[in-house]
Amino acid sequence: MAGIVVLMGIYTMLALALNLRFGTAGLIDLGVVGFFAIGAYSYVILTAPAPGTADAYMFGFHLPMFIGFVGSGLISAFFAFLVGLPAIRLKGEYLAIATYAFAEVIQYLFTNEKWLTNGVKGFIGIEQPFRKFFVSANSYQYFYAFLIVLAVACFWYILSRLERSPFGRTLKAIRENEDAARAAGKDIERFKMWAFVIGAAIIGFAGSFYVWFTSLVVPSLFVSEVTWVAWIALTIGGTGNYKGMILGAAIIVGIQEATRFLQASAELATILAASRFIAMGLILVLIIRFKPKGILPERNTVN
Amino acid sequence: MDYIPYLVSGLVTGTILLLGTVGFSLVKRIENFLNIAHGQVLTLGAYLGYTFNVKLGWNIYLAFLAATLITTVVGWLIFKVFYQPIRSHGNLYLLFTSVGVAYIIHGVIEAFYGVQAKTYSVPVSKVLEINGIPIISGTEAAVIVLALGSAFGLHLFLTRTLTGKAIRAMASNLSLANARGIDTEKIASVAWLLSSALGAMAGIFSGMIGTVYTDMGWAVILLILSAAVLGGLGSLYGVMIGAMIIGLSMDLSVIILPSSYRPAVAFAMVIVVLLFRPQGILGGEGH
Amino acid sequence: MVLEVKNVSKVFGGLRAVHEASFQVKENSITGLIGPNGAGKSTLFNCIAGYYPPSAGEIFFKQEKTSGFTADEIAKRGLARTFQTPQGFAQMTVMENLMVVPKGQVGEKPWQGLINGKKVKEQEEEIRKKAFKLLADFGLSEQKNDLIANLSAGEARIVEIARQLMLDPEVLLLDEPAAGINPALQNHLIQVLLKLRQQGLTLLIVDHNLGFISSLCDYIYVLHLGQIIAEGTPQEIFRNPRVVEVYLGGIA
Repeated sequence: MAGIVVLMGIYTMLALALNLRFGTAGLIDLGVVGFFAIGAYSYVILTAPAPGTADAYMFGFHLPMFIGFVGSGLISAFFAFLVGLPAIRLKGEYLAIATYAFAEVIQYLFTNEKWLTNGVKGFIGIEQPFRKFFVSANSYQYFYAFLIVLAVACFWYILSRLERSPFGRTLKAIRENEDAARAAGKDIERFKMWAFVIGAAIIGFAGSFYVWFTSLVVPSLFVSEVTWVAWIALTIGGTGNYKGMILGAAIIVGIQEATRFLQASAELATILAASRFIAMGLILVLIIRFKPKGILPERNTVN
Repeated sequence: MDYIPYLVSGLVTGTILLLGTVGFSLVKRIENFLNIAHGQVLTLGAYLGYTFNVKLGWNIYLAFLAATLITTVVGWLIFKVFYQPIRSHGNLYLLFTSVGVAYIIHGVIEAFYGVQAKTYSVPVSKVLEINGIPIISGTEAAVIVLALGSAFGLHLFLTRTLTGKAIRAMASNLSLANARGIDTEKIASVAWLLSSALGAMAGIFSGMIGTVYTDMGWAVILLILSAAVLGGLGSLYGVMIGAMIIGLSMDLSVIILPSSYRPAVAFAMVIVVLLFRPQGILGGEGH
Repeated sequence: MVLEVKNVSKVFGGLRAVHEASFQVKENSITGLIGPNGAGKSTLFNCIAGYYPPSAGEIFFKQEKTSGFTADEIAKRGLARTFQTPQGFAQMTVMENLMVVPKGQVGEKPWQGLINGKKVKEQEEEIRKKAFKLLADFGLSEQKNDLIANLSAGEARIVEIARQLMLDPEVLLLDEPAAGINPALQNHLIQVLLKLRQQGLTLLIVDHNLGFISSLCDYIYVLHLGQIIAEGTPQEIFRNPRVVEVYLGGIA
C-alpha cells in the first residue's frame, strides 16, 4: 500500500512538471525520462561512496544526502538549460522529437559510460533518508510514503503559486498566441526556457525520490515508458488541473499494480503483464475520444 | 575492404527503414500528426510473418504476402476506429491517441507471443565473398532488391495514377485538394492502407534479417522519427534519403564507436540536424 | 520624425514584396499607408514591427536603428502593433489579456512571482487599475471577465488596441483596423483613435479602405507593387493621377 502511494506521488511530480512545461507554457516535451535519469544519477553519483574494486565508476563523492538531493534538481535544471539553449526555439513537433531523441541519447550514455554510471550494474543499496530512526523496513515504508505526500504538496503549492503569478500569466499568454505575446513585448524564448528549466528541476528532484524508493539505479529503469506514463497521467487526469494529475497518476499506478498483484502461472503472468500495456493504451484512447480535456478539465481563471 | 560488410548492412538497414519512414511520412502529410503507433505496425507485420513462416511452416515469400495483407487491413481498421473519429480534436490528440494505440498493439502482441524473441526460418543462403571476406548474403540482397522495388513501385503509383496524384495533392495542400473536388476521405483511406502495407513489409524484412521482439516497435519508431526529421518531416522523397543516411551512418559508426552506441548515432544526428537545419537536410517542401 | 523607413526592401524566395520603400512618420500625426491588396503593405508593416528582418535598408524609431531587432525588443521600445485579424490570448479573459502586457513586471521573474511580495502585489494593483481604466475608456468594462475566444470580431479588435496601449507606446501601428467591423463600431473606433492622438500618441494606419483612412489621416503614403508611388495630404492623394490610375482605377 505504501509503495502505491509512493509511486503515485512520483508520477504526480512528473505530471506536475509536465503540466508547467506543456499545460502552462505549451511545450511538447517527450524527454521527461531524460531529466528523470539525470536527476537520479546526479543524486547517486554525488552521494555514492568511493568505488570498490569490482566497480567501474570513477566518481563517488560521498556527499551528504541533502546535497545530493539539491544537486539532483540543480543538475537536471542545468542540463535542461543546455538543451534549451538551441532547442527551445523549435516549434511544436520538432521540439517533441528533439527532446525524445535527447532522452534516448541519455539512456545510451548512462548504459555505456561505465566510468560515470557503473554501466548496467548501476548502483545498489542506496541509503534512504531518516532510515536510522526506524527499526523495521515496514514502518519506514509508511514514513516514506508520508514524506512523498509532503513533497507533492510542496510542489503543488509552489507550482500553483507560480501559475497564478504574473510569470504564469505570461507563460499562458505565450501558450495561447506567440505572435501576440511578441507584440506585447515578451521575450518568449526566455519565458519558455524558464518553464523548461523549472520543470527539469522538479523532474530531477523526483529522480531523487525514485532512487530512495527503489534503492538502486540501473539504466533500464529509465526507458521512454516513463515519459509516456507522465503524459498519460496528465492527459487522462486533465491538463491544467492538479487534482486531475493525482487522479491520472492513481489510475496508472492502479493499472500497473492490479496486473502485478494477480500472481498466476508463468504463462498467465505474461498475459497479465501484457494486459497492463493494453489497459494503459485503452484508457488513454478512450479518454481522448470521450473526454478530450481529461476527467477533470482545467477551469478558466477569472480575475 | 573491411568496411564493405558494414556498408552492405547499412544499405539493408537503410532500405528497410526507408519503407517504414515513407509510410510514416504519408500519414504525417495526409493527417498531419506524428503516428507513434507506426512502429507497432511494423512489429505486427513482423510477428504475423513469423506465424505464417514458422508456426504454419509456409514459404517465406508466401508468408510475406499473407502477413502484409492482414497488417494492411488491420492498419486501415485502426484508422477507422481510432483516428478518424477524433480528427477534429487536433493533431496533439491524434499523437497521444497513437501512443495509446501503440500500447494496445504492443500489449496484444506480447499476450499472444510472449516476450521471447523470435526468428524466421529463412533458408540459409549463399554468401557472396570477395577475398574471403563475406560481402552480402542472398537474404540481404533479396531484401534490398524487394525494398527498393517497393519504393520504386510507390513512386510510380504516386506519379502515374490518378489516386497517387490525388494523394500528393492532398499531402501538399489539404484545403486546396478539397476545393478541387478530391474525395479526401477516400484518399486518406488509401494513404492509410499504403502506410500500413509499407510498414508491414519493413517489419517482415527486418524479421528476415534479424530477430523479432516485442519492444521493436518502440525502437524502430525512434529511427523512423530520426529519418523523417533528417529528410524534412513529411517530404516523401526527402525521407527516403534521410532513411538511407540514418541506416548507413548507424552501421558505419560501428567502425569507430562501440556498437552499443549504434542507435544513439541516429538520435544524435537528429539533434544536430534540428539545431542547424530544422527543415531537414532536403527540407523546404514542408514548413 | 519618430519613425523613419529608409530604402527598405524585402524579398521572399524570388519574390520582391517591398522595393526600396522610404517614408517618415511625424510625432503625434496620423499617417496612412495605403495600397491595393498585394502591394506589400503588410510585409512592410511586419518589417517595421520586427516580425520580418528587412532584406535591405534601415528603419529608425526615435533615432535608434531598430531594423534587425526582434519584435519584442521593438514593442518594448514603444512601437506597438495590431494584427490584420485580431490576435489575442484566446483562453484568457479580457482583463488578463491587458494585464499580461505591461513592461518591467517584477512578478514575471519566477522567484518574485513565487514569493509574491509587496512590490509584486502593488504593481499588480497598479496594472489592474490601469487596465480597468482603459477598458472603461473603450466602453468594454462589462466584458472584462469574458474570454477573448467568446468576443465578436469588432470587440476583439478594440480589445487588441486596448491591450497594446498597455505598453504605453509612442507609436501605434494599426493593420486594417476597420476590416470586419460594422459601421457603428467603426465610428466608435475613429473617435477612440482621434482621442488617442489628442493624448499625444502617433498612429500609423495601414489600410486599403480609402474612406476610413482619409477621414483620419493627416498624411498618406501610397504603396504599389512594393514601391511608394505617391505621398501627400488626403486631398493631394485623391487628386494625384498616378494614384487614381493604379489604385482607384483598379477597384472600379
